[in-house]
Amino acid sequence: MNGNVDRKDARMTSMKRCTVALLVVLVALALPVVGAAQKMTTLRVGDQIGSELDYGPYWIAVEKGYFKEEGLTTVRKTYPNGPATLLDYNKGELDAVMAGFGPFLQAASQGSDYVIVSSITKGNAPLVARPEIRSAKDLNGKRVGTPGLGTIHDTMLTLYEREHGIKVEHVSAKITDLVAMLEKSEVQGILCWETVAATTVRAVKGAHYLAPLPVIPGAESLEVIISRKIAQSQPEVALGFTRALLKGMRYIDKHEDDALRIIARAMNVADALEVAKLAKAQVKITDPYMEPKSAQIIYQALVETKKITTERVKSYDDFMQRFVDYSFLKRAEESLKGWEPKR
Amino acid sequence: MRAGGEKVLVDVTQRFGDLVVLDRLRFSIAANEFVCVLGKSGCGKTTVANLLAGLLPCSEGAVTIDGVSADPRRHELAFVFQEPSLWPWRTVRDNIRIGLEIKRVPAPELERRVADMIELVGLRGFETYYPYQISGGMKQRVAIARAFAVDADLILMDEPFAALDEQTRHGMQAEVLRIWERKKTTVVFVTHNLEEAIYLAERIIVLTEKPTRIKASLDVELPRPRDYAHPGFIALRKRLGELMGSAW
Amino acid sequence: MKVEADVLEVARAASVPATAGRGRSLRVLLHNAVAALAVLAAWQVATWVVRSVFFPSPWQVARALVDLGLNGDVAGHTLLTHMWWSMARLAAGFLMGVLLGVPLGLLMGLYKPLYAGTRAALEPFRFIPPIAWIPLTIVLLSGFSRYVFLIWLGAFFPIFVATLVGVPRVEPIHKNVAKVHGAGRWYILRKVVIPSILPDILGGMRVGMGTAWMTIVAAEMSGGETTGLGRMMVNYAELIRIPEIVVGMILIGALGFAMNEVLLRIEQRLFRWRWEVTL
Repeated sequence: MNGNVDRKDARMTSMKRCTVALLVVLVALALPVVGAAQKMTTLRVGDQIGSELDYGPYWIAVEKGYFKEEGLTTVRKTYPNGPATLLDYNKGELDAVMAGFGPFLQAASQGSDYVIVSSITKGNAPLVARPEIRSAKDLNGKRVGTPGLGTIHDTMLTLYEREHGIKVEHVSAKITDLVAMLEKSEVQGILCWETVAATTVRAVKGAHYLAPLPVIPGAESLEVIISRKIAQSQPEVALGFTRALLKGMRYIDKHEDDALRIIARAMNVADALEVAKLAKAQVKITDPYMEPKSAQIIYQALVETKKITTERVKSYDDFMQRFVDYSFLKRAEESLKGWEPKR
Repeated sequence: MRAGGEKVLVDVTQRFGDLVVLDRLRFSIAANEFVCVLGKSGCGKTTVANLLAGLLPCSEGAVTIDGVSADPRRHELAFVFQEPSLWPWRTVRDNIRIGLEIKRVPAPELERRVADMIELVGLRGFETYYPYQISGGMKQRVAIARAFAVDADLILMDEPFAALDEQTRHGMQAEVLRIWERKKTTVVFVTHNLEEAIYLAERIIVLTEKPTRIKASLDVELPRPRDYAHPGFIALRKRLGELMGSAW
Repeated sequence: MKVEADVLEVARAASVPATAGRGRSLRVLLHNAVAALAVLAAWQVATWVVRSVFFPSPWQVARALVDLGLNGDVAGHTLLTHMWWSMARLAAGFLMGVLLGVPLGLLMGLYKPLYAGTRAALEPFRFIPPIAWIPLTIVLLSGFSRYVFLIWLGAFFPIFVATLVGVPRVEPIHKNVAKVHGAGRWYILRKVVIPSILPDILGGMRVGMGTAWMTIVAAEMSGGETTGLGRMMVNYAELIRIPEIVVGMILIGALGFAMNEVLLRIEQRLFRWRWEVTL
């Protein structure tokens, strides 16, 4: 390489020599940075479009440098939905995934393997209805949109029907199309995630959150997993990743207004801060432990509606035992005793 | 000119843009006459045929049939083209029907005439064949049957046998004469072939090169069926050869 | 007379497709069976090579097909319901494509100024994929009409264009035959132009059928209705159950193939005169 440069150098004009000199200086300057980066571990993280608020702790950890503090850099890959994310994860394209509890259960029941290190979102399943729908009974026999049959929201709708003794037609559509369909009465209600619900309430005249909300208060919604391989062969990476997220949650707890501003910046929608505030009221993003009661109800509902089979995952307890590992979370909490998030 | 009156009168000058194709071309045809228009390729023979059939409007002058300006809707006209002109999606029988169908001939009459023509041109048994299933000679026979099926005021034939082999062509020539003698129709037959003209025609109109005029009009009074070896045939051939030779 | 020689030619021309056809069709059937088996075998081998829990084997897909057929899907619809609705939407949209594409193609093919004068307004629509219309249709249309419109978009242009470009290809000599006998425009249109370009129109219809299938599946995937093969596939995609998705793919392929065969049979029956069209 060097010899090559020398040989060429002999034929170079002074102009070219200057350029080479400049390049050499630049490379020399860049070397320490490269050296530092080599010590960093890169994690490929998968998430979904329009879920900035749900994954708020992740955004805070990125913005506040919590990952860097753990020697981690994250590369974000965004997918249209949870199943697509998990299919790519299964190919080995991702090291960590943030997605819905439902898709995780479905993937596990199909033979996919992973380790849940933390819960990240709860209660993100608000039901928004058209102005003429004033109660659950009004929805009986009507069409209600959900972002898809495989989503936790579709299951929540099933649970909502059971709770109120009503029957509705589940209409699946792309999350972004649900707003337009509600607006022109193609559906009378939509059960979807934030911040879409908040956007709908603001955009469609008279649309409102149908009380009581959410369908199951604090119901388990989204989890964070890392690959089994990393959890086993690089436990310090799994620990660092979990700790950074935990720091993010602590920050949101402590400085909610500032946290929402940071998240709103990532959202890329009109009136982002207003929407984020409205949505935050429906969503809990600061509890790293899964809510066991709702998680079990969701598991049961998925089995009963034949969305998952019990061939590979025998029961709820079987799932929790094999796929959830709180050991990293426990150690992270231990090490963060007395740690205070700074603005 | 034969007795029987002038059925068709032609008096046209035809231009395509600045190019004068036909220059005051004047001739008449008697009823039931078989006229051959003889000229070399590219002399405007096809233009003459198209004008007579009403496929082309005259730039100057007119073609009249029975004193009325020639019009496909008013007169019974028919055309036997050099190129394959059968409708490939129709059977032999349904191709022969076309002219009668357009003129709304009532069904029983139409069926009878089609059957007659099939008989006359020897196509019995091939009524339901499609054009692709029959030979080139048979296709032209269908085209001839189609032309003679209508009781035409005038049938035009534009080198109909040029694409056929020698042997088939002789057969077809004899057949056309046979049908013409039976149906007694006025025929204008365009060709560049001297023998063909002599074999078929009662009268031969020889055209000059462009701008086309009439070089000569000769009555052919040889006995039928005409014999290529007959001295009169040979003499006429020589005469026509001289006429055309001097014309080019 | 050369009738004898002609008869020989006729016999040859007429008999060749008939007798060769029967022997050939058996052989073709055999070839197709072998090819289908080869695809299955390659698929099976691929499952051994890929070794993903999500990549289904032919056996898993067959099981999913039986299960779906017997017990219906996770949303409570039977396979037949999904197939029926996809086909009903397809048939309605496709029929509209034919009913509008053929007359408009004829009109614009016959009256050149009409086409020349509306080209700039009309042609750009050809290049907008029907799928791009989905967001607009969600705003403007609901339910059945949305799918019909989208399929119509997919089917219309191939049929329209095939008709449009077919018209100038009508042999002038075929029209002249009718003209010499005094035929009017209406007769020429019905008896010369349409029969001449019918093969083009049917070809366009087969292309349109292909785009219609692509469109219906994409449209059903966009959502808003609970039935249709596309919808069924998305539902199972969300449940990460690939065997059922492959069942949907195979059914779409099979239905599309069957409909294409029907059109081909119609073509062969209508165009016996166009002997080169077969196979």
